[in-house]
Amino acid sequence: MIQKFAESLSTQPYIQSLIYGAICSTLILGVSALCVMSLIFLERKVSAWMQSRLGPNRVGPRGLLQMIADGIKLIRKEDIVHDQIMKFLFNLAPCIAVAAPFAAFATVPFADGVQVVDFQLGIIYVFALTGFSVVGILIAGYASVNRYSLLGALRATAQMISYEIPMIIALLGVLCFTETLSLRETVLYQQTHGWNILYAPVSFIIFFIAATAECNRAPFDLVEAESELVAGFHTEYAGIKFAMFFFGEYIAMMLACSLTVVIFMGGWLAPFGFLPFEVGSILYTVWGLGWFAAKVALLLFTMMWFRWTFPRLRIDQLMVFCWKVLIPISMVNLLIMAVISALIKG
Amino acid sequence: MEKYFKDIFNGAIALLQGMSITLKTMFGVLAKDEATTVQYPEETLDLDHTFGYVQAQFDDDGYSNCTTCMGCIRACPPGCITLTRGKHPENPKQKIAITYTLDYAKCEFCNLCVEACNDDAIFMAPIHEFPFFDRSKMNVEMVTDMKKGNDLKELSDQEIKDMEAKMKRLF
Ligand code: SF4
Ligand code: SF4
Repeated sequence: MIQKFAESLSTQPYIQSLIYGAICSTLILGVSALCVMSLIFLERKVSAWMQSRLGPNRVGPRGLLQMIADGIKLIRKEDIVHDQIMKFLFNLAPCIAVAAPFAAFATVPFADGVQVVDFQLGIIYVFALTGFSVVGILIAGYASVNRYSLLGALRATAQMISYEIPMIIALLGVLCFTETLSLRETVLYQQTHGWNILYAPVSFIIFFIAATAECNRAPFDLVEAESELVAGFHTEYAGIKFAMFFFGEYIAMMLACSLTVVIFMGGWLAPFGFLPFEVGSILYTVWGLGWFAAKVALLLFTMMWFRWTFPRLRIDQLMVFCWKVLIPISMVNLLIMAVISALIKG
Repeated sequence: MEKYFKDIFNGAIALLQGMSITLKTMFGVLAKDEATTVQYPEETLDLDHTFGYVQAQFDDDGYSNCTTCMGCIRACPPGCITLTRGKHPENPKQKIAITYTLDYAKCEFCNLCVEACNDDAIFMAPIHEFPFFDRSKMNVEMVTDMKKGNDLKELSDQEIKDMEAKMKRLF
């Protein structure tokens, strides 16, 4: 639809793709900004409920306006920095932290036909970009000229390097079956063969744990461990720049959950192949979007649930968990999956 | 090798247990209204057995019980009590406090004055919400002002007796 609109505006292909890109990114930015605002609110609510509290309930009905109040407060805050920061890098870091996970949404299929572009190499593109977001954190820690920030940034890098491995290996096990790197085709494969989570549960668990670690979420939030590092890499950030890191963190979280849903939980497909609408109709798209959102919401809730249940790991425990538990298990899992897929496919 | 798998298994079980506890708490809050939060200005906790503000006590005919023995003044660590000695209007031989001023800006609610008093002239009233917005108003004149009705809190005789009984049990 957007593609057609762009084509009607101009005959030049590159102007068409520019218009198309601009409209799509504005849409994704708007929707994700809304989602992030409600996620922050939900995070506060869920954390409160899990700790037997009530959470924000004063601003607006049931505290719903709290998210707007939070946003206004963050934007209006004075931006205080000390005078030894490396200015250019310091300002660049939050942009990278937001842009990298945000750009990865370009190839996530939200529903049948609701996808910005369908790369053949979608999965590789997404992982390249999630790997890139740690550069933002590293730059932030380095440019802040602050020991706590640098320590946090180094931890982020170590964590990233370690957890990327089991994540990809777990994914490889699934790729043995789906034999495609395109996210859309991954979903279409699941339409005919059933959800991947059913025959790759170990991969799913490892992938989800590693994705949680990738987003620097608790219990893997050593990067900003408040009790050890003040606020980690964003100690020196205030106001809107801090808000951007926050935004980036939640977008990365949404991205990780979307990917898990697309790769393991059948993307926009309803469970049990339930299909009340004709494939290709508008209703089918809306139906698919609804299921996608519901599954992502479930995973996001699980991430919050993790955060408010588990205590933070120590840095050595973090590494031991990755190298001694996740990686061996994922390797054995990959081996088994490869053998099974070879047997099935002959 | 066996220990390795056992550790992982036990760890996973422990994590699941933890997650079930938080989920239970969450449903307790959402479905059964079990949150420990007290919505403060609208709801308050029942705190009447705890200490609050120092308040003067008056005997049945409305006079202060204080015999101006100065025990409380000596006992008070920050020295926030001042009183003026006078004669009892009906019994000139008996001494009585004409004014008894307590500076709540200094008072640390330590109860030492109440313990020092042999005549039950002061007690700790169970008031926990008593904010002042002006420092000059924190000098509360108990004997005269309170007699005029500017009481910290209207307490019935029974309430005062109950409270004293409770406090005596604490010591
Ligand atoms: S409660 Fe303590 S500080 Fe307050 S008047 Fe009595 S002795 Fe002094
Ligand atoms: S209040 Fe009690 S301790 Fe203080 S002067 Fe009066 S009688 Fe003595």
